[in-house]
Amino acid sequence: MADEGPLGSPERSVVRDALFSETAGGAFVICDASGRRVVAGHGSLRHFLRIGGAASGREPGPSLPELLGVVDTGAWSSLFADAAGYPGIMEDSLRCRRPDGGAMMLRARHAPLPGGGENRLLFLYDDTELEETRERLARARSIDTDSSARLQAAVLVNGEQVRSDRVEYACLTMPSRRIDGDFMDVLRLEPGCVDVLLGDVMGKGMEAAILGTVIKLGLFRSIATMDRSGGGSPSVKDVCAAAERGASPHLLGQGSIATLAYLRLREADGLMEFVDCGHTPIVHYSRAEDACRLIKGADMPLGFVDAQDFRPFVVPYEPGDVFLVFSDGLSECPGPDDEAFGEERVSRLVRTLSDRPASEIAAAIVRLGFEFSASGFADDVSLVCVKALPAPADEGGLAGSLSLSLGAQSKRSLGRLRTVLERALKERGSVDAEENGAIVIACLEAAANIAEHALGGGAGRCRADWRIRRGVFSVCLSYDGPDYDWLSRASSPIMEYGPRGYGLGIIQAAMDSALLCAGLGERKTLVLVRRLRCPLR
Amino acid sequence: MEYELVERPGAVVLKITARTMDQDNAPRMVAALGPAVSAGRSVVLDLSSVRFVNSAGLGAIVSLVRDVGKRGGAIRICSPQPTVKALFAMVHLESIASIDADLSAALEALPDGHGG
Repeated sequence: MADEGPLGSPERSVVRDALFSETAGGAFVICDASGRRVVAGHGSLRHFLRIGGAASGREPGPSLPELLGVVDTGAWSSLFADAAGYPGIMEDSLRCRRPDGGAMMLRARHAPLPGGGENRLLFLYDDTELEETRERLARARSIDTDSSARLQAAVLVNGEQVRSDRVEYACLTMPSRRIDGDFMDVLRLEPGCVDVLLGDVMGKGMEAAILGTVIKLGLFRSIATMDRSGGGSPSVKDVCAAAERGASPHLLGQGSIATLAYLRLREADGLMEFVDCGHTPIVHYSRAEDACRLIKGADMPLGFVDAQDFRPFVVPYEPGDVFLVFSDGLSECPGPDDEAFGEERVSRLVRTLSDRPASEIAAAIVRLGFEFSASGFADDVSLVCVKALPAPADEGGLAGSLSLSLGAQSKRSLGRLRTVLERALKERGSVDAEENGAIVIACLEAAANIAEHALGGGAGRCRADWRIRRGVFSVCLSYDGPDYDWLSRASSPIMEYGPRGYGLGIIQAAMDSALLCAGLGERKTLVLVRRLRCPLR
Repeated sequence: MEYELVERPGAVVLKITARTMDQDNAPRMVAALGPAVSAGRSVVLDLSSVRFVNSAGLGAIVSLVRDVGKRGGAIRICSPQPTVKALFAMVHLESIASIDADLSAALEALPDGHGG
């Protein structure tokens, strides 16, 4: 009997063969524990078998692997090794040869036959088409990966061309086995001002790479066409809004999202302004504190909504400080026991490597991440390392640091902070006494909030690093305590007529940027920045 | 003393003599106006000597403004110094209370205009 494929009717099969039962697309066979001899069955699926009239199961005939045309008989033996008495399911895929010489991928799965002694109930399934589909898909993916890798290298990840004597920039990308939509660049839009962007499109392969390209080119087009009549570059907020306008239709249309970190480094001012659209935190190593902080903004990824009102934040930095912007392919890279590489590990490495040039820091972190990974990076790893170089001696400005005792000593410490800030602002602050006053009130409110909310009224210390440089006031208040929502504020505090709760409103009103950064452990740093409207010359 | 209560025709003036208003002293200062507020009299808060008000001090002032309004009186705040003025501007205090440059302007502006 020739192997003709599945028989059309079970009734006919029952009449013609009594060995196999037919199922949807497969067949059940009862065989012995060695898998060599067919014991019983009914129905027929000659599709699988080169059975002849002699294969009745009651007379010696071809063995089951012979009937199936199994090519690798060793694999078949392995499939039934120690099957006698084994209570579980055993399965494998086996390459078979059809009578016509064609290949067949056979899925075989067997389990104990209830009440059948050591016999096994064997389920056979023709997996040929599925396997061929898998192979076609793998070939397509390989082509897709090659193409998206070329696209990524050519368009998505650049940034080495920016040179500066104030800040070092180093960019590095390590593509994964399947390309993600990572994109990054470093741009000098005006003298003394460098923009760093790093984004990550959800998904993999060519689709993600194309979306990354759309976003990046849309962002560039926006920057190129934005109004600059007021002088200088468009604001970070405006750049991100323009990027979102261009990207949202594509992302929403494809049900995808993209995270984006957009940073602007004002090299002479020592200020980093950024918008964070749901991206992985930026690591900031502060040389003054010899510690790292994780900087996180407040906006959603692109593609969540049509348009959002982006909130830029500003962080002051000093020579020796390092910023590391990276994709989650690094921090989420799984290592032994599926433990992620993690932001804390990245922070510790940045601190350890902070004395090295930016390019070495970037290379070392990627190498260590790769070594940590169990089997290479599962996602693209892209990073930009920014390191502030020593500043010219005539940088000017005024800066200082205070260690404040909070708790029982709060009032005295706050009085000291007030005196120091009032004096500094009188010397280098604003022409407008009210503006200086607003800054002092906001700083004292922040310190009082730390004492009351972050430290719970208990004893604790807070370090205040303040600076007035080139018309910008900043203060970093560092303490050890739990999270506190510094971004929340009453929409109109005065209308609430409450006796309390004005502090955050005052801080938000007086400062251009108020940002809480988390360090290692319980360390927190509240960073307040205000660009003086009427700076003293 | 951290404050003085001065009777004027048609109004009571609370002159804060302390240099700061905060959680430690502001409630006490504002409470001194209690009888006048209960009687529905108009009040003037003179801040000419105050150099610094924190959020707790602001809260006490806002409570005073609210209580005076409930009792049908009028309230004016006068002579805020730059830092205090900055605070009032940040929270838009002028939306619920009138702020005058000096005491005479505040008294003049009271409903019955008993300045001087």
